[in-house]
Amino acid sequence: MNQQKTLSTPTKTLVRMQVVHLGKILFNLQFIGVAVMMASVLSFIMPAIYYLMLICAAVLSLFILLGYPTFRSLWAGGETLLQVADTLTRSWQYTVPIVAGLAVAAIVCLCFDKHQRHPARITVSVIIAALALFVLFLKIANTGVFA
Amino acid sequence: MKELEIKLTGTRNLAETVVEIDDKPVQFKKNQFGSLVCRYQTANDHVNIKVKRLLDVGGLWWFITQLCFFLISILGIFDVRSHEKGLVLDFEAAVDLKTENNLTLRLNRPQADGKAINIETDLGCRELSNGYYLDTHAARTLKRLKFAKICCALATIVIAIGVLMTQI
Repeated sequence: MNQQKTLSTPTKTLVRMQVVHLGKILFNLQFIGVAVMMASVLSFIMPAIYYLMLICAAVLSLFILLGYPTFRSLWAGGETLLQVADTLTRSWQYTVPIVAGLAVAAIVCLCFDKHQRHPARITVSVIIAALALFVLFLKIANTGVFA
Repeated sequence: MKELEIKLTGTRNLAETVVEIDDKPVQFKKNQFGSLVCRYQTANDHVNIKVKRLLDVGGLWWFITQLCFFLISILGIFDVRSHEKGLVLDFEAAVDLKTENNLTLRLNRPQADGKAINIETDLGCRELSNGYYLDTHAARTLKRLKFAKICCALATIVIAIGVLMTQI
């Protein structure tokens, strides 16, 4: 290939390209936020599932497992899991607004693209933003003002 | 007035491709079949068509922005993959118009000795330039950015290990 020409991109077009690029990054990041948000909202299930699994194991082993110290220490370990679940439960005040913010920011940035519509990305972000806002209102209604 | 219909194919990102007819940028719209089409009206018997490709490469602020994007996307893990290599598309052709004028511009992938654009038309056409050129300044900037990203990633990992060790 020849090595010659320099053609500079107009500043306005370059800025618009970066805004759209940021929108795509925010779109990807919001999925981490959704995973953390779901963990914080559903964290109360974690200890229940943990103890249920231990009880099933004990029943299936015809309660022989109850004699083993390892099983008993696993049962005692549920206390730590309860503390983790409690911390996660209280973190909804941060995770849910962050997810809503990421989704809205992604939609705004992607709308700057004059040439491509990004229908799939915008639809997914709208659904995530709506879900986050719904969870936020539910949590506020259940717990009152931010604790 | 003569009407020229131009169909543009082979490009996914119209934001990067600028088409000018007689030095005026033209807008393409998707037709019912999803193809990019432009209808241009002129009183002239000939038109001059230029196609350029804009690079996603800039100066110092662009460089800093890319590094910020790299950090925000957690060391590039959640970043969009960039195919930018600093290649400039340079195409210019003079086209003679008739009563009915249809022209298809098919963009090719960047290649060493081939044409950048294949023209499909029954109109008289004289190609004045048609190829990909390497913008050496842009290519150098992209190499520097790659090096800066590697340094950023290493620095972040070292700092993270340092913080973890002080906490332990």
